[in-house]
Amino acid sequence: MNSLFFQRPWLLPVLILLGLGVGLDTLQRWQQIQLSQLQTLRQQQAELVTLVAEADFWATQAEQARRLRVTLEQQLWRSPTSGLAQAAVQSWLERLLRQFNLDHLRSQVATPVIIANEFPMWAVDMQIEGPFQPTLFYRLLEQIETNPQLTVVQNWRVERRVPDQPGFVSLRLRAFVLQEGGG
Amino acid sequence: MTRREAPIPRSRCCFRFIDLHTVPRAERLNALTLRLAQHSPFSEANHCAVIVKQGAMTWSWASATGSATALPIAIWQPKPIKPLIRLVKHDDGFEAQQWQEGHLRASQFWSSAPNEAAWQRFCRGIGLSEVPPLPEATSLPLLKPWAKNHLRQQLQNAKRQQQLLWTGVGLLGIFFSEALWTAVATYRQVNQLAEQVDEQRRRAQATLVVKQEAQQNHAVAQQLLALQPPRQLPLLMTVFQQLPPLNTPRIVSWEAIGDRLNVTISVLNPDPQQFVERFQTHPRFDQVSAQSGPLEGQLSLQMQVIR
Repeated sequence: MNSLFFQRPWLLPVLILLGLGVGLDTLQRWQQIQLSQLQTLRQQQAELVTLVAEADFWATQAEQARRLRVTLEQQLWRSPTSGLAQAAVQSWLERLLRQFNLDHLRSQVATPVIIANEFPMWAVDMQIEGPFQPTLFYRLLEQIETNPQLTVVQNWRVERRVPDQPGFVSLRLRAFVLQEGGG
Repeated sequence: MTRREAPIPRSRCCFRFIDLHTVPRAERLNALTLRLAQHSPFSEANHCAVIVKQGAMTWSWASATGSATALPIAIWQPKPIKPLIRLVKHDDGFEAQQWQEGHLRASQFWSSAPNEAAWQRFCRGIGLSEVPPLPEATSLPLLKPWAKNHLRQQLQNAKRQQQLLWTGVGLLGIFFSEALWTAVATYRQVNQLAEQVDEQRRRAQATLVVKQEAQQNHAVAQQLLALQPPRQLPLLMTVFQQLPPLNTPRIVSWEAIGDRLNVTISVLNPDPQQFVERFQTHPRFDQVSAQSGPLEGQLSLQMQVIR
């Protein structure tokens, strides 16, 4: 080995140069990775500092959001099974029509359908059709929309083909039923 | 090389023509160095080598005799162009020289004038079959040297090359050290910051949980709110209020699907522009359009209800 370096005196410095070059390149790559990590950490640190400073804000937000959620959930219908949900909605609808002497309107309650949400919930669609009596109908509409259990008017249509004759009303409602014990 | 440096006298150096024609050109300098070390009778010697086609004319002398930059006297004296054998008279003796192809191939020194027998031995020694008569010794003037010390030049080049390489090593070493220092400093900074971030994360954990809870509850609340379309009775009241008071309009058809509302109105001489302008200016309605209804004297209005 010694004679090799003696016969080729340029070999040792060239090898060292190569080694240093490779080492320098590796170091620079490593440095880039370190700098990238540093930037990420600084960003995380800034976010955490902001988060800690906003502790009171988030506590208030959490309480408000929780109250709103509880209030909204309390407005939902509740039932352990889909069958009972459909039955409860049907009873409510029949009671309502009787209350306004609108028994002559045709009503129909569809099978509950599960809707995608944060928790298991059914949508129960209803359909009411019949002659349009404005006064009674608007009172019925008010009663539906102010019902403590969330029932929404999805679509309603009044048609009056002959101006002086009573029109025809078609009303589609939807009740949202939260599965009890499911969420 | 300076011309003032005194030539090395022939009596103080030994000459040898080293044949290198079998050695590859790239290896000649190394081979020459080894051969010189083998042949030199001096423990510490300086050498002069003039490399030619077939080999090298070499002179060696003791370090004490002269410096490495000096040249032997033969290089200061004129060299013959044609091949010849000559007897040169020096201040301190006589030298027999054999020249071929412009190169000094053999040389022998005597401190006194050689006799016939000595001359004959020299001639036999260089391989002559016929011994020429002993020539008369000639004194030669000292002129400009006709060759450089290639060995020294090569060594100087090699030394310069080495110096350049080692300078490169040094410079790259400095860059490397600086880069290493920076990288290590960054590494320490990253570790330090990572510890700080961990600590802050522990402290912020409770707030993070509260934030996630708030966001989750907010998202659920928004989903529940999205289930409720605009209430129809207040909407109906608003539409009635927006209808122009003249011409006694009446609603003949009403269809509300989500946020879209289609209303057909029975009215005398309907002016679509008037209706659109009235509804468009109301903050609850957007994208209002109007067109003729299914029957004469009817106008269909379409609009988006803003919650």
